[in-house]
Amino acid sequence: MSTSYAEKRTSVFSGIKRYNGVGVIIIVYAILGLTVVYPLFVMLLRAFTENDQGIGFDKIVEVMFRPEVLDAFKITMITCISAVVIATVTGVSLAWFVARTNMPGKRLFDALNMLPFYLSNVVGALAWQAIASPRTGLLNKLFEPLIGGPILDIYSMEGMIIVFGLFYTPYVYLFTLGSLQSMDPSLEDAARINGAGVLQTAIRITLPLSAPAILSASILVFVTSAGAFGVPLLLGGPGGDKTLSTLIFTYVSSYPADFAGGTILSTFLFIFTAGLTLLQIKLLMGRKFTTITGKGYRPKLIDLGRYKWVAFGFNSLYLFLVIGPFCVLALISIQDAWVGSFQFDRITFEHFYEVVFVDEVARRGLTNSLTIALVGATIAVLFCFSLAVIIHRTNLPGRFGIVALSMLPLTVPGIVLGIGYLIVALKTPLYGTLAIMVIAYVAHFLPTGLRNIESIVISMSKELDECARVCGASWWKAMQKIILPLCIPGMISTWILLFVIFIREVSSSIMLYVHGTETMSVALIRMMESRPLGVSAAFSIVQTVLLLVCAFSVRLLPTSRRD
Amino acid sequence: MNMQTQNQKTKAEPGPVDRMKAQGGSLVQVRNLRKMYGDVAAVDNVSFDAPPNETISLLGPSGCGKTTTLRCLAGLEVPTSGEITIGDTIVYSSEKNIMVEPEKRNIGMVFQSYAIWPHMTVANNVGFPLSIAKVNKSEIRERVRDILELVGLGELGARSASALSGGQQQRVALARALVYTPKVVLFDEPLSNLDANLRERMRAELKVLQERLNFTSIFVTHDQQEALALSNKIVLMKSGLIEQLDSPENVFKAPSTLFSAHFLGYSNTIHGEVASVGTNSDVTVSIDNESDIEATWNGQEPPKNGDRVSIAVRADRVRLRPALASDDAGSFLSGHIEVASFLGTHISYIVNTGSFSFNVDGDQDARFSRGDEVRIELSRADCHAYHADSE
Repeated sequence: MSTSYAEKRTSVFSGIKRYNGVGVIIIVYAILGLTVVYPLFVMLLRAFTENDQGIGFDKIVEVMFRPEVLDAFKITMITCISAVVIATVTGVSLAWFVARTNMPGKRLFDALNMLPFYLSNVVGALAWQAIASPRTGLLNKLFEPLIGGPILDIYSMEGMIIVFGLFYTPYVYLFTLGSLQSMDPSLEDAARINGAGVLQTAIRITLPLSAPAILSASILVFVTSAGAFGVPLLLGGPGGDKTLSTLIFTYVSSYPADFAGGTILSTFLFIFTAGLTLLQIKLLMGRKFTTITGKGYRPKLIDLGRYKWVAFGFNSLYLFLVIGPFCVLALISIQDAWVGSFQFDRITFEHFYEVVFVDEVARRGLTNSLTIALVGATIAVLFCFSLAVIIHRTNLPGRFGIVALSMLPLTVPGIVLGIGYLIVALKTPLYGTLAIMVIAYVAHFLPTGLRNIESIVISMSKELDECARVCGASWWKAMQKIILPLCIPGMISTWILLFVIFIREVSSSIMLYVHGTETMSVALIRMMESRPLGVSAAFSIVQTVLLLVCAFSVRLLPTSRRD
Repeated sequence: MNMQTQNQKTKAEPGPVDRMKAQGGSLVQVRNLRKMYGDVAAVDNVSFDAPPNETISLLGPSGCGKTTTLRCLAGLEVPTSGEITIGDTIVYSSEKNIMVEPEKRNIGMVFQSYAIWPHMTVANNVGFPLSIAKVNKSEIRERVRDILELVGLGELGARSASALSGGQQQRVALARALVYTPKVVLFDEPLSNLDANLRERMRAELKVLQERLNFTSIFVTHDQQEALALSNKIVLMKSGLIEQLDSPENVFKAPSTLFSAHFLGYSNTIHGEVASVGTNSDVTVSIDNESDIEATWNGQEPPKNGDRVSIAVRADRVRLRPALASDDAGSFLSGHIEVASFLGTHISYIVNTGSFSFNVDGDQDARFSRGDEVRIELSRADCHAYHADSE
């Protein structure tokens, strides 16, 4: 370039100010404050102020000692702890089989074991109703002649535990698999050479080394199931067992609404899950860097001998328990009426026609959910990318505070955030719009989006954009020409993940929906109350297919290009 | 004045280089540069000049501030104080409150990781600076082809940049830094990621390129060989300060401090006391009150009798002889061979003198084996004495 050194002089600080205006930081904090902190704050405030008469603790004591609250607390604890035990045992075993042993068919299992992660557990609960509802369930019909009654009543704590356990197993599986795959295999080889057997090595070396990952996955499962709403609503039943989350919903949705009860219970749930999440973050932090130092080579596989078929059977059983009920649901959806067994002369597609073209609630649910998910995932990905760039590619003051603030929703169960949003929205024109739901969704899953996109930006060498700067590109140009294109593959996979989460979201939607803004999950729950099983089944299958398409397109994505 | 270099499309109008040369000045001037990280000075009071078309090496161990200095030159770090001038533009001055953004400094830079953008082709990588400057497409194509030819990658323009070997990436990075014929090119340890053979070849090619294209380079390295081979001047740095600033030959032959000597491969240090100070920076050093060694005084402060001193000696600048050799010229140390390792070009010995170990590179003709009694003959010019606490 033959241009000579232009006399363009700027002050020392204008270079920083131009791109990194403090204004940007103020806007970011304002957005996060309004969408993340404010609803939570309003919820907490409401819990501590009784009838707008200032802070009072009498109401808190009264609510906490109501008999149904104590019952709900007990049920929540038992359900969540049992679910954690099932998910952990299953997830860890499956991960170990897939990562370390010669279990037959493990490549296929590896792909399928993550499947429940993408499915809706509300639909899972519905599918299990078809299997094990006391009178019409397939399983119970099978066993009724033998034992003279139902073998499993799905409308119970056991039912919730089964569905939670099955659907949260992938969380533990994913964490454990990651830890096993990044573990230096020579650690286990050394144990073998020093005389330890297969099982001894697994229990005394492998398990302790993966313990932080397993423990933090378990805590995640506990927090998620404690805050879950759809499954207990469906399986606890109207008069049956209530968990804290369904009790909160009952308080708030009763007439007149008991906001004091709802917010006090929400506060209690929030403090509980926040404590556990902080514990989890602490555990993750300690091993953050050990997972990255993965060796490139694959560890030698352990020969299970004839026990490999036990492993095969166990993994098959797990997938059967998840996929089987969905198949039954699919069969139910193409029967004009379900009589407990499949009849070829009853095959019909009218339920699908009904939910896609006729039923108003179903159609609204479909279009609303698609709209919210498309718009929400796009906003979330763009917002998270902006945050990640501000945090990692500028030197703005206060940029690290953004991380802490954005991670706050991680500690908040959906139903709790939903109440906060409900209280805020009631006073604004946003109440009863899809917009408030989009905002609530994005805020609630900000941690998921930010963590995904942040990790992509962090993994990119700063020299890539510094080089563009030296080559004559401004900060904006460097971001636009270098960082953005390199982040696109990761942004697409994050987008799909958020789309999946938004399509099946229940807990915030159930608080925020009004007539006309039902989401898919809300529509499904309402349909189950009033419509034949076949219609709900057809609607569930539509949602499931949508989610499966997403799950497969994630697999088809090229692995993101990184430096 | 060599202005008919390739791609030079300006007319006879004198550019900054010409003016600089006419004034006998420098193309890059660094004055009292300081960069603080909290309470720690990563770069402290660094000043140096780079005359047109010369290579200045910033040499030193990791953490000495050489890369930070380079990044301040590029505008990637904002210094705490000082002044930097490139050409006739002040690009940073704390006093005048000037900070020119990196993209406005018109410099080329080769990064340690090469920073090849994996989502672009080789040609797009190399043409990036031109397309940012809105040069028209056909000219970009032409100049990219020329520069790729020049760095020996003529065929690879259309290839995706993610499918390149380390050596090829290095060449692409070089081509990208040179494509807009900047007057100053900064190199941040560009050869450190290559294997030894390739490194040597690239070093030679770099020198050829620089002679053909005429640019001033500032070169960061921790490899003394690289710095010696490539530069007109070496800035040897230690904990943010300049330790020595001189021509490669002077730095190598007369390190001004004990640290410089060690960093430049003076692998032996003998401790002793000044017995007498002679004329012309000669000193006689008494070792353990037993033997005397004649040495050249290189230290900053003049020596006094009785001062504790250290003498630095290169392993290849001594003679190893059998202990019984009779001609008694100059100073020597006695000892026996403790380890003898065959290293191809020479034999490396560790000689135990009784109180310390001494490294000697011996030639192939006269071989000694473990246990042999030997004497190490030292010449005054190769023994560099410094105050003992000066490192």
